[in-house]
Amino acid sequence: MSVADHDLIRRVLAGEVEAFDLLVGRYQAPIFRLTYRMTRNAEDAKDLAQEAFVQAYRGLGSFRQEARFSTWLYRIAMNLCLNHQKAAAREVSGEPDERLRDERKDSLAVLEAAERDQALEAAIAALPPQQRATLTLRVQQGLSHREIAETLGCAEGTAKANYFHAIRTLQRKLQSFRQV
Amino acid sequence: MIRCIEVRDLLLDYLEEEVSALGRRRVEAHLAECPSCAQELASLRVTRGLLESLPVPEPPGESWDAFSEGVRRRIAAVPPPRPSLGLRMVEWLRGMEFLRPVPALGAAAALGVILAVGLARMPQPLERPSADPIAVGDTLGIGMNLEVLRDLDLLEDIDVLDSLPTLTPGGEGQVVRLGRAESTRYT
Ligand SMILES: [Zn+2]
Repeated sequence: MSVADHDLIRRVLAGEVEAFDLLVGRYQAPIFRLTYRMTRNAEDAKDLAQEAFVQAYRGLGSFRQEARFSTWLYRIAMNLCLNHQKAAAREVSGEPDERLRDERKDSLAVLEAAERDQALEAAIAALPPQQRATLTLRVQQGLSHREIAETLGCAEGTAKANYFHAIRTLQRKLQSFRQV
Repeated sequence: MIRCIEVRDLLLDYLEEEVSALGRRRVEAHLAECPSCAQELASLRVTRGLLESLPVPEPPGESWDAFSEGVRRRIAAVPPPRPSLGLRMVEWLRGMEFLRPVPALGAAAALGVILAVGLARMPQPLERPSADPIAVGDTLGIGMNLEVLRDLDLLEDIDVLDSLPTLTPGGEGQVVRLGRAESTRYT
């Protein structure tokens, strides 16, 4: 990572809008991972990830240089995901649990990795949005509890508690059908 | 020895190496003698490992180059961002370190800048779509408050995140919701 994010931002604000490309290149994969994990739909994830960059660009002028650009960007993307879910109103219902129940009947040993991942995906999708967001930021993005709190605009203790709940829930769900 | 119930609360932190040295020693002493907690740790480790290794596909039907090209296309319609008034003021004040020991003078200078820039911008909001009328108003409001200005660092705490636009289902370029008020943006 040669040029600091803040230097790139300064260049964009000074009129060199092409410098924003470098920020996109730097964060597109993590942001897409985040939006994909939240939506489980590659098409939606792509759209939301791109929109996150557009909104970041739009609001770049009011970005606090003291903050971390990545945290700010995650927050934008996460807000988009949460809004998207509300708007789509297709909150995951009982369906993932059904799938888990089906798989539980199978012999544990023959569960393919793909099936197991699918079950885990379903279990994640069934988590409350705040827990899912926290889990994703922690495990996939490697954020600290404090950074998660900043990103989601909650207390650090809340972020930590949400993470613990999420992990415990997944652990329990996995435990009932395979040796975790 | 530390009890199981206490250890269970620490296991995830232990796994992620977020316990103190003392905590780690206590957990390890317990694990050495408690198969049940050791099993719980193993289970947490597997769960976390599975989560970490969950695959994520690439954006559908295209390369990352195409992804960033898509972003470029979308921001082409957005006016180039400019530093907000508050940000420019903070930068400007930073350059005036010698004013720091004299807060009253700094405050007066800051107020002057706010008013000057604010007034200069007010008559032409439509010509500058990137200028956020609400941000200007907010900054002016805060600027009037000398209590705030006395501690220049507080200026940096203007919570820009709260005023970030959020997406509405209608798509881009329409009405966006701001943290504190509804407003129409020019795109
Ligand atoms: Zn124990």
